[in-house]
Amino acid sequence: MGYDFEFQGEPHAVHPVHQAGRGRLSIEGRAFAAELFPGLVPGEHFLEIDGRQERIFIATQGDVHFIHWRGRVHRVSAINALERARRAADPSGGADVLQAPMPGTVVEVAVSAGDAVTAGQLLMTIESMKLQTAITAEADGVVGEVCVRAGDTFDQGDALVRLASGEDSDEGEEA
Amino acid sequence: MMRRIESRIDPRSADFQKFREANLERVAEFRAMQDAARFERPQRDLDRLGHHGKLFVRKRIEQLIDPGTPFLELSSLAANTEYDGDAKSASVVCGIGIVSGREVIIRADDPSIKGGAWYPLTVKKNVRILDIAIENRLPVVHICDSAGGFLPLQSELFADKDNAGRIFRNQSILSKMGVPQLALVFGQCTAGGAYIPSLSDYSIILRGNGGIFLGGPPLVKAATGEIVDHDTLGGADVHTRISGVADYAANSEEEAILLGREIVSQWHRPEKAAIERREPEPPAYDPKELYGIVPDDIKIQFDMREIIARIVDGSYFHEYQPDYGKTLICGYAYIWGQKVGILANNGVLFNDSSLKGAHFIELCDKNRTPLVFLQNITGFMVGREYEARGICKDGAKFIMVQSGASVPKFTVMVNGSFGAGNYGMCGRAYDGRFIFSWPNHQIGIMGAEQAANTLADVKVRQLERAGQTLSEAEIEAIRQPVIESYARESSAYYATSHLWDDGLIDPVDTRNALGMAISASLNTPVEEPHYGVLRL
Amino acid sequence: MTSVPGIEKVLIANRGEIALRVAKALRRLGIASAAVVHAEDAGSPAALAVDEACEIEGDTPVAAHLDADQIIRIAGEIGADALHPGYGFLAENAPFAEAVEAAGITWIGPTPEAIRLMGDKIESRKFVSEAGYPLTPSASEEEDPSTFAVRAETIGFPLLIKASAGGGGKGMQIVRSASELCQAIELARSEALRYFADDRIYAERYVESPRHVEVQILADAHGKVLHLGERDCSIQRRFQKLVEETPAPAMDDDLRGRICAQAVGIAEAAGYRNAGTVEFVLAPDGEFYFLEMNTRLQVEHPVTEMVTGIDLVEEQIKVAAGIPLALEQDEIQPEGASIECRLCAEDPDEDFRPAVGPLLLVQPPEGPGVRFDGGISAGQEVTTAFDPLLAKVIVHGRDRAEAIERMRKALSETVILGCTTNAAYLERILGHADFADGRVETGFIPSHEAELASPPLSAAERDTILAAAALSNRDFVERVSAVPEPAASIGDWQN
Repeated sequence: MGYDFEFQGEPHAVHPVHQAGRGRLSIEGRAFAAELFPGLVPGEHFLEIDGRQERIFIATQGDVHFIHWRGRVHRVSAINALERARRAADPSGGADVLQAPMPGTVVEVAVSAGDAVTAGQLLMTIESMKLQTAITAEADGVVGEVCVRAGDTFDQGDALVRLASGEDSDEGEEA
Repeated sequence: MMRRIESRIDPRSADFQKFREANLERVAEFRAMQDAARFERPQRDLDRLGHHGKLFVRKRIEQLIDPGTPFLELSSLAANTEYDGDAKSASVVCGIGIVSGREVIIRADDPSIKGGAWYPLTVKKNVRILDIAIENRLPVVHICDSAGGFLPLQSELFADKDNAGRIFRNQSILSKMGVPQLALVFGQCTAGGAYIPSLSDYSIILRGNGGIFLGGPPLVKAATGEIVDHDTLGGADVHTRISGVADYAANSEEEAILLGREIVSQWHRPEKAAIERREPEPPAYDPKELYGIVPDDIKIQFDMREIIARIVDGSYFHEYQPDYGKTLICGYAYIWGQKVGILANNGVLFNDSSLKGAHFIELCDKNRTPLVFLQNITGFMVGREYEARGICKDGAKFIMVQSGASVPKFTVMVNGSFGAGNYGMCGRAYDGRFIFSWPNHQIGIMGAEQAANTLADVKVRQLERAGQTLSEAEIEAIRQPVIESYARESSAYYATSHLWDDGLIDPVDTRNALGMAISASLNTPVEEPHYGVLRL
Repeated sequence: MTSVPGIEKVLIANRGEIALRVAKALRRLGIASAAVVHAEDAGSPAALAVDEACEIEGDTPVAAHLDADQIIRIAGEIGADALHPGYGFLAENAPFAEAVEAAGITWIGPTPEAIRLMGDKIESRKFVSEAGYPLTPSASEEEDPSTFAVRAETIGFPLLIKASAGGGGKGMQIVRSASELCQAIELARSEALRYFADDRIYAERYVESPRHVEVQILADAHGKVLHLGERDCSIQRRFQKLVEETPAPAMDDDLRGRICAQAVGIAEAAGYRNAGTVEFVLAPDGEFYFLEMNTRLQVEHPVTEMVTGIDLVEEQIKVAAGIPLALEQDEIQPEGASIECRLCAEDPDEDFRPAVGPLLLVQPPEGPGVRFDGGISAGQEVTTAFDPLLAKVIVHGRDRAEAIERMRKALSETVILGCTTNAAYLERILGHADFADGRVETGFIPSHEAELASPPLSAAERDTILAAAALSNRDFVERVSAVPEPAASIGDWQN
């Protein structure tokens, strides 16, 4: 299992090679001796790689690393392998079916097919066991289909709303 | 502070070259067998895996462990002499690896062999691997993909104490001890197999291929007439949404493995038992020279210090009682930075060498120093003089102290392991944490030739008593099959096939195998020393 | 204790690097400083540097800075006796200057009349032309269609035929000889009709490969007008200056003298006071034409300061206080060469798209002859609310070659992380052989587009960057260091 970093629009496999206690890395299958030491001023680092020493400034925000080296700035993002695998393996191809968490009745539907919705937006209100529950979008996207109408009853696990993923809808708008 | 062993080996000598050639041949044979066990499968079986979208078992393990970290496979040639060689590695891949920074046991069914069915030796290997987990408090990741017990041989794997039930018993004991287990259900877990995920603390089940049920669809139909498909009966959604048998559902093996890694990263890492440690350094002598040291004939003696010099850190060795009981070398060294006490045979065990060994084990036990036994032993010395000096009594002391030692013990079968020497030097019966064997190694109650002569003599005398006289050729005709059968059963391959050890290793891998084994053993706290009664 | 009588407190009606620049000058002069600060700039170096930061509001941050009434009200409230407008925003707004003075506050800048006269492009050209200085020769068809072709020919070739109603280069014809003229006029006329439904056209001298040269003027309220030498600002992208330098390269002293004298003449004719800049178009043949006058401090003023040792902001304040200029023209002897580069939040790899983002790390360049005029600090967020100028890197060298070397080093040592900048792009401009040879002109950037593009990274460079990223990724490092010994030391091994 490797770690992936996205750089210049491409994923690159980087993983550690442990050998004789020295820091080593394998990048795209090539092994390097590499160690990073902090410098004196903020952001300054010294990277020892393949016997060279490079002065590099690094700033990190979340999973994004900004790297200033030899007068140029580069942006490298760490890719969460599980998230990527999860997306790749999703059989719905990004479409998202919101299922009823419990049996109940539809109180009100707030969206209709074709609506663009953002994560957290109210899609419908359902009532079950005298409690009203808001059904919200888990991610940005476009409503593909609303499977129920106000007043309908449903069972646990029934599809309530089908969403297309945000990425798909973006592509759709551009095309 | 320790002194470096001074090697007396001349790599340019004729003997060295001759031994080297012989051992390289042995290792090549071993590696070829291991490769076959690991990768050779009928195309039909590989096609079936591909058809189901399954990764090959070794690929699954490769993805599971931390990149750039070692994997110590155990018993890679289990079952190699049985079932016509069908059950490669006994149909289950086991080993110690690093997952999310934790030392864990990986136990992975191999669906490319008869659907991952459990043979009797599969069960034995599974029980042993979980014994290792218990003894060393190692968490376990199970990759479940087995059709269940191999029915034609069910009588050999079901009912006895150490049969299949012991797997689930061991899982329960692990849980009681607070050692976590994770099951990745990548295939069907039917009948007993269903208990592996059910008894694990965490389980991930794959949508599609994964299934957990006490009885599969055919058995259900036969038993109750109910017709139900695999998914509805025990698929991922049933178990993660309704039954609660499994904890997480995944859509691909990759996703499940990555999720598994995330789960393992939640596990507590207990403190290791405290032993002396230092920065590791490689041996001063090239471990590849081991090939030129072990002779091509088991009867030729060699100096075990030369072996030690090529296994331990910097080839440093503090030898204890260098001038007493010289057929047993005792002393301290470091293996991958971990201090050990080494006992290595340099000849038959005499009274003094037995007493020296017993004394040294007691020192190590008090000193919290794990023990490494390097076996090349024909046994304890026999004869009037030695019996009169109480060789039985002194051998008993050695066995008593060795059996009672609280520190973890490790054994390497370097060349020969015969008679009571096997007992004294921590053979399989003595609860050593791990035993590794070299491919040239031989094991038995006595040497092959002695045994064959003894057996042939008995047969010749029986026939002579019946009035027959035998020609040399006739005697040879009796002797030969006995020798052959004995040789086969005393070979390293037969031993490892029956799990008398935890795997054959290439001699140059000894240092790494011991390094990982010692590290694993230290997950269990070391008890205070206490012994049985010594016959003084 | 103020060293400028009558000015005890100055309100800076600006933001960013220029507000900080003015605040520093005020501190040196012992004058209390205040600045108007929009919430967007709260905590910025300029807001922190002044003695008083006065919050301004508006529909947009820019609108707040253009709100003259609000700013004058604040100046009154805090008791400011002078106001420095910086550049941009209200700096060349004559009614604002008038309103400031009407409020009894000293306006640190030219008179409103001078702003009105010289700040207007058409008016100022007319004024300059009437004062007898050359503009780019042109001829309009409207004046007398019958003589248009003849008048056009007298402009000289090459010339441009343009649509009077046009723009964007549509309907424009370049004419290089008299024989092409008639056909070009016909073509331009029909295209003008087609594109703009208006067939009026005019002709103008086409200056090929022109340079942008300007002269810094400093004048007091007592009629003394000085020039502080010229600047070459030819390196531009879409009319936005990127690199400015002084002295102008490849210019002889005679030409330099004539341009500077003309600038002084124009300023004198306009009765100009305070700091200002007269801009010219310089043709390769050495002809130069008045372009416009900037009635304020220029962004690129520091290069002049570097070679003359004169602090222009201090001089502005003194002049505004009515103090006569103590300098004489012959005392102003520029030494060495100076270059300025404008660091902008934009992405040269993405067609100079404005860049936004948090400033995670700001590490200004250091070293002899290096000056950094910035109004940015780590923790600030760069947005599109204001223009993309983040900071200016200015260097001074004994000669141009040393200045270029120092600038290249300074640019590569300027660390701004979190928001993309043009620093590396500027470094490539400075590193270009044509720049080193002084072959600069306003078409420099379009004609060197390919050479100025980011060079692709080698595999080894890519690996170095990936290694740095991986080893600074917390998750990666944690997972690596989580591997226990001796497994970590044993490494990638299988028995």
